[in-house]
Amino acid sequence: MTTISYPNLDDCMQTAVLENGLHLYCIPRETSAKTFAMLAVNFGSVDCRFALDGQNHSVTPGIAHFLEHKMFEEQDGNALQKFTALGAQPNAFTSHTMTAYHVTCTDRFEECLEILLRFVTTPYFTEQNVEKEKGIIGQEIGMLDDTPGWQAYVGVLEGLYAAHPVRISVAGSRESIACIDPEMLNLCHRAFYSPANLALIVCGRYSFDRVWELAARITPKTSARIAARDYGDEPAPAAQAYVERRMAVSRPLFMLGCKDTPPARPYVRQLTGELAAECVCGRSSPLYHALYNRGLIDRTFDADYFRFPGGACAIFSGESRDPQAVRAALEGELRRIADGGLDDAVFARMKKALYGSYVRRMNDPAEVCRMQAEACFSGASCFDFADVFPSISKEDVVRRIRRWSAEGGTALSVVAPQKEGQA
Amino acid sequence: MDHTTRVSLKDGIGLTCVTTKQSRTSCLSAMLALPLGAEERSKSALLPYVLRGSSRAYPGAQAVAVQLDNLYGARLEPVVRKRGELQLVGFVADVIDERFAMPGEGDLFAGTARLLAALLLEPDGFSAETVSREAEQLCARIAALSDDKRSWAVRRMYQHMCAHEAYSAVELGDIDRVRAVTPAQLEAHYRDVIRTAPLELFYCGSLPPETVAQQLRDAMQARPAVQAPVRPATQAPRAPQQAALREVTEEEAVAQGKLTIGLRTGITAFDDDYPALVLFNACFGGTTSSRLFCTVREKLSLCYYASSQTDKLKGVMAVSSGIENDSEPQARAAILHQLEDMQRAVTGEEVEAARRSVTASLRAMHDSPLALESFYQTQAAAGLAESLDELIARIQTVTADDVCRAAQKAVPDTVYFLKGAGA
Repeated sequence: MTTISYPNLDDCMQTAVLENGLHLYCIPRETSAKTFAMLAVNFGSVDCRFALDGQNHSVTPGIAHFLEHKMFEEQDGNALQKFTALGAQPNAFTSHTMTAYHVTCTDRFEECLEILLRFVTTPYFTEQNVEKEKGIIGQEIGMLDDTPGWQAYVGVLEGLYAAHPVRISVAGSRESIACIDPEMLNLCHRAFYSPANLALIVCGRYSFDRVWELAARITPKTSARIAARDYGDEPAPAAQAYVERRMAVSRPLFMLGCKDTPPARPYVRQLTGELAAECVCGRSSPLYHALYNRGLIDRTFDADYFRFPGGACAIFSGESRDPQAVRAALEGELRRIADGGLDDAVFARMKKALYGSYVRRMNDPAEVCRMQAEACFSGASCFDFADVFPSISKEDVVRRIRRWSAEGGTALSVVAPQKEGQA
Repeated sequence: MDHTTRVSLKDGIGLTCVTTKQSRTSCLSAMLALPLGAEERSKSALLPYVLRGSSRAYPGAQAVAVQLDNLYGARLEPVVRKRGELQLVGFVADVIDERFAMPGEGDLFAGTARLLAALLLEPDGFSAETVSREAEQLCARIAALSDDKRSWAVRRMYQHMCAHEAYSAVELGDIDRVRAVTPAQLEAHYRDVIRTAPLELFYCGSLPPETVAQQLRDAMQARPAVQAPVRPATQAPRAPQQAALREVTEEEAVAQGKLTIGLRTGITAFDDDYPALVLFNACFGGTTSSRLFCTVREKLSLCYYASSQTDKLKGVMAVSSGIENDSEPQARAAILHQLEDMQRAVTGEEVEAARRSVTASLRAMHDSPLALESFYQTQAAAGLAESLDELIARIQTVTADDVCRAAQKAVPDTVYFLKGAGA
């Protein structure tokens, strides 16, 4: 076991790698009432083309999310009920980049951990339970189809990307999941749920030795060869400049995406990209103030940065009566900053504000584990931000913004109100 | 763990300090305590919103946003609360703890305290534009109180039950009066309030109480000398104001009906019986193992939800439930039946389950600076000296007989039915 201290953050992390390749990351919080454990899988919705044992595979979109649903089912019942009987709160999520299973408890932590480790590493798929799940996930997809914010998000990724699988919604579609069968699920489980592709992250009150023992005893003894992944050849410009959907909203939702290059150092890029987005239109930026005063944006406005294997983009989102005017203003600001217009004071305070928001997220053990899952799959630790932020220069930020301002590099997605007469 | 200290900064300014190293953020709030029944409550409610945009040192929304970002993304929000028959108005701020500033930086708490004081104590006159904009937004908030039918039904019930008491007033003010406020009237009212109302400060964070007190004394220098601050009081009569059970039905265009029953207990946080009332409330309808949840909701399936809550200063209790419109008589009978049953006897097991649940949720407040802020500012405004741990200790000694006696003091006063007239 290695302990790494982060004195500036008053935190430390205990780490180890088991013989089978499973990574353990444990963050002690002695006075916390709750303990949180997450078993994260480096397998997201974008991982649908891969090579395993020398053979190329292409699986249907939505399979990572489908697999997440099916894992809870066990030969002797359902893991959810086992957790609930212990008074614990389990949950799981699938994103473009990972699948994660987690549990929160105030006591009986080791029993919870045992259930978590067992169900995630034990596939149990039958023809019947897979068929039944298609109906449930179909309902979930239907709900997402009705969610304006999600539709704006899917739209902007569709606009930005021509080939990369990130352009497909995480859950896939009713059509894309129709062909899923136990064999396909077993293939993905073998390819991606092998211990060396997992990270076990714990934050709260625990004994490291017991976590290590349980993980070593319950997870498989050896790992399969980790699957090589392929995301296709993505051109630099955006695929479509404008994407529109019509839904029952009272005023338009928009997302403006700015396509960026795939990063060499993903963790550093993530922080640099977020900082650059704040410099363009963060809460205290000149542009935010101007747009707010013109009544073009409100407090729903957000500036963010999204990174995934094989790509990255900045996303500016919110509600507006005139999304095209917001786009024009944002693109103008990108060009202004690219030409040397970033004020030192704006850069300095945006860096402090973003640094502060990372510290704030460290309050919540669940958030700490989620950040560590993302960081460790990018070859970093969730506490590295304390060293990385001070090292980011204004030129680093301007370089990103210059990239975003490239001709044809943006896509605007709008969810517009339905026209009169439409139901 | 943490410890709590009370300090008097100077006449009319009290300070509660919770000293803890657990949280990554520290919290600061400032609350003026005013009588809820006062004619001027609409002006008082408008004050913090107008003050935020009227500071001499930080004029306008952008100046405040810039300073908050310079303070590592600190947050500072106007607050208006109803506590018993008190109206609390002021600001709540939180900022990352000093320890986590980047090397060479610091003074985050002092900076936040100075910003808060500059907004609260040093306005540069109120402009007509700021007053009318904030008045419109406050009116929208008042109008939106009826959006959440669950809390709206409880509010309407108390308005009928306490029709002749200050408790019936809306803490955000009355729309007509808010609209009518002129900048000159608001300034006169502000000068009056800042000279007469008790001001309570709260801090939760890692700094020692002496340091906090000194920095706040410096920050609050601009506060004028207070002329005999009057702490407003709350009347908590136990006897209903009329002979028979009051029954009120109102209709709204919603699908689900809301049945709300108001009770008077006469027991407040000042009384020895208060811990017994807390456990009575938990056994009756405060938790998912309560009588109302297990019997009225689960066993009889009469409600979508059924719960109870108390006001620790007013000595009143509200049972709140969501029902099919047709089930009103059965639901009412079942709720009152459970009350009568508890007035005869409660079991040791249900009291123990309630004690575990109440103790766990009170202890969990130590994890949340904002939860502690709300608790201690209510204590301070009411003049209650009890700490959270002292309350937890008192709850440990309550017996089943005590709970039964507290139940016997609960007298149903008003049955309010918000009838769904079809959505």
